[in-house]
Amino acid sequence: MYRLSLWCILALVFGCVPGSVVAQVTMEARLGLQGVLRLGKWNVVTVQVHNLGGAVMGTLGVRTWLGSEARGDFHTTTFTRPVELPPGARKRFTFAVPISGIADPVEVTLRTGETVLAQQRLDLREALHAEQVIVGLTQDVSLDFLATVFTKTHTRVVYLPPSELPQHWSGYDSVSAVVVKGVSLQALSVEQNTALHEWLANGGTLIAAGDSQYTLLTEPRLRTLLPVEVLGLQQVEGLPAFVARYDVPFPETPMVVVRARLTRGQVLVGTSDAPLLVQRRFGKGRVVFLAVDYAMQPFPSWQGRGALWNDILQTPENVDFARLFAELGMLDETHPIMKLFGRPVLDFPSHLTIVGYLLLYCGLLAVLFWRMSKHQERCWRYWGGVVVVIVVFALSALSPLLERGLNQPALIFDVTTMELLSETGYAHLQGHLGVFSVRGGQFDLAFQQPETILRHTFTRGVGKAGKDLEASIAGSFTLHNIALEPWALRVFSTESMAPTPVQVIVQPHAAGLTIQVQNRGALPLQGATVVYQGKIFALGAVAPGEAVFDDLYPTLRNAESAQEMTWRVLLKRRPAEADTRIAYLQEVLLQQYFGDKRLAEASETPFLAGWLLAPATLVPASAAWPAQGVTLVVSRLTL
Amino acid sequence: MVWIPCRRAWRNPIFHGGLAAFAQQPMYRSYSLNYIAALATVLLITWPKEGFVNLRDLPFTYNALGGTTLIILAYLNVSQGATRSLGSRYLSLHDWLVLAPVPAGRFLRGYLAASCLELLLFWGLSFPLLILAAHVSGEPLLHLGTGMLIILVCVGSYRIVGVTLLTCFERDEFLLYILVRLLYVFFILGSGFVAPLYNPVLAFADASLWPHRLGSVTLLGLTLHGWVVTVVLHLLLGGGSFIIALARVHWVQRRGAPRETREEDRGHG
Repeated sequence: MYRLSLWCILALVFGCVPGSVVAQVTMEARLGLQGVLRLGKWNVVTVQVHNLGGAVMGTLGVRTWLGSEARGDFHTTTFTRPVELPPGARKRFTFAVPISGIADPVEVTLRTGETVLAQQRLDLREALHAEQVIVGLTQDVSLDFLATVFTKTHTRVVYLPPSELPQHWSGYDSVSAVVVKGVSLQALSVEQNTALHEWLANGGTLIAAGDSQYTLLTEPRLRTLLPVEVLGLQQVEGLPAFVARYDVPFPETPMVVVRARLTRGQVLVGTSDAPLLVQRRFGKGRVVFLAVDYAMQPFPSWQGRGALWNDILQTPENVDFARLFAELGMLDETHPIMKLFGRPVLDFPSHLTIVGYLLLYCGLLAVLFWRMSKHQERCWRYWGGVVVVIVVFALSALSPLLERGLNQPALIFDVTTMELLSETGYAHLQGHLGVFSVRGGQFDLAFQQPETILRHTFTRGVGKAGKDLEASIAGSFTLHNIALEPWALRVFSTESMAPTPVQVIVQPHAAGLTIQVQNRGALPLQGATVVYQGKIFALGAVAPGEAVFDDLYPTLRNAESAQEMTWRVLLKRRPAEADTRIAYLQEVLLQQYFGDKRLAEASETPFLAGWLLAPATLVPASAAWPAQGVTLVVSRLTL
Repeated sequence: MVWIPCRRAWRNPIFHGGLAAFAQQPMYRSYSLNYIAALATVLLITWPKEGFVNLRDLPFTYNALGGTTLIILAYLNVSQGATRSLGSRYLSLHDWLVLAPVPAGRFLRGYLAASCLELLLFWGLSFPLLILAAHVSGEPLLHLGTGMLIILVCVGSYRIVGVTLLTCFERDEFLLYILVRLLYVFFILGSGFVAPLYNPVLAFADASLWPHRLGSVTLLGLTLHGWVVTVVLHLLLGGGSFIIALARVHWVQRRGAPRETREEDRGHG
């Protein structure tokens, strides 16, 4: 009887739900690149949705847990994007989300309004974890041996078809290297190609290996990246250059290698006319050319291939303590925003002003009272004067002595370091953001770059911060739902890539350098300065659309300041600003970037430094919550 | 609507007389200067270090100044309310009622209105300083307005309590002296421990950015902030005290009339 009633109730419940909602959408979510994850990095989550019912307009969200309970910064971030599913549609969506631990699952939800259409929990304990992920764009699976080459770094190799390569550079965050062999990059979409370039510029490694289909190496996309010009194939008897480099005998059997000629970069094995292993810098990353087909015999059985791949990948075997400390929150107090809050960033009336105000107020009242006692018959007039004094002083306290910063919903700071990655056409932006709420509330942050990575966030202050952030990645990147109680600060560290707004070309000559700085951005580059051999060369301001040429002669400059801290020297030479608080933002940025390096040490490689006096990470013009910010532009000059 | 009680007060002979006396008396002037000097000192001491944001502590200036204002004004109003403010201090309530033959209600209203002039002066004098303190503590104008309302209502009710004590115990000055001080200590200090919702200083802090220590009270399905309850309780206290004082004035007036007649008869005899 009871069972029957239960079935009736269930039937009634399902009967009431609209038909389009029940099991009309199927969803399958997959973690990482073919299930491989790298903790502490942004990993790909791929969601496939199949709509079997009527048209659906909804929101697809991926929720991850970050931070630690012990540090008190445990929070969730839900990455959302709108989804439009016509009847019968089958769509694939990729998200890049941060994953720092395996304790909590990643939750993927498709909903329309408040109704959940499909939900899936991805257990991170079941995923394949690695400390190094190598992506193989190859026709075969001949890179598997790499998993055993690196004894200290747990390595996994993932073979992807070109169509599954990430669309945005953040999708490569967990990837250490991409190996291309016998596959054309021409098939990549424009977005995929840009993402690959941005990732490379930001420190990725691309390895192009020799293959019988050598013409693929001459295709435009790969050709522009390679450090060599590929000429054809040639047959060789053994590889004595490898033997010489790695001190491991190589069988002297005939084999085919790619014939090439060095165009730029550094030959590691071979000669510039017959290079076997060449690398070139591409921003912070590297492009490596290996003339040999590593999958062809006798290479797979060669004992020296471990050393060769160590040379190619240059995997750091040491523990990255800086990163570890940052993840443990031990560097939170040295965050630029925390340093900024150690400086007088507000504009209160000084004690002197207040003393003057109070003396005037008390003095005027005393005079009126004194006059009142002398002229009793006119006391009403003086009482009127007392009222006027109160009103006038109240009004003056209301406006001229108002501290603007504390009397707006939130103080938002954006101090960003923009590193121009020479010869890549991209700039790497490292943003340090702070949202300080005086009175509490919910805030949103709109970012300039659609692909911005949130590296770290923590809170400080008396009030608490909300634990559920929402990141909307539809078109632009916006962080919603930053809930803060009164007197609470939330700090973010971000990373993004952007087309470089300043182009720097440098040519060494006998006595120094010739430099050309072209500003392609919308903001003037202020206080442009070149530091070379411990000497400072001021270039001044470069207006938008303008270019500055200069010849720099280090021998003509004295080096008296070479032992000074770099940040201090550059701070002294910053552009003069009316608002002294900007100087505090500049100071923390310079300290963050240059640390305690002296001018002589910092300028071993010449660099250009300048200022954009506007935020570069956040969208500056939001009337409700204006962001205060400056951007330090730095470009390392390769001679 | 607001104009009617003002017009009535203006026509009230007791208030009229009290207003003239208030304007002429030098005592209020020296009191006000001392009061402003005390508040200015508190403001200067608690003024934040120039331009720094102390993340670990909430701003203190506004609550320190508001608390000091309340502590000073509470004492001033309980004690001054219980002091004969009009005419000679040797003139009793009975004498007043004989000298000014007006209905008891009119007399009490006029007396209270005249007595509250001092309260309004002090309240107004602290306004510019509280604005400064509010701005430097990040308090919005709404909080400032609420704070000023709390000060006005609480201190006004203490004034009525003082006047009630005066009407009841005017003949026993020692008892009056002790009662005034006991009540003051309770209002400002004791209530904080015994009945926090009754404490004006806590209510003032509750209406600021500081954490809401008073919590909220749900009454008939309506959730009220702690400071709202404090204001309502003080309004009730003021109203209750006014009724007691009115009853006392009525009683004195009724008891005084036959006695006067008897005295007149004795004079004629």
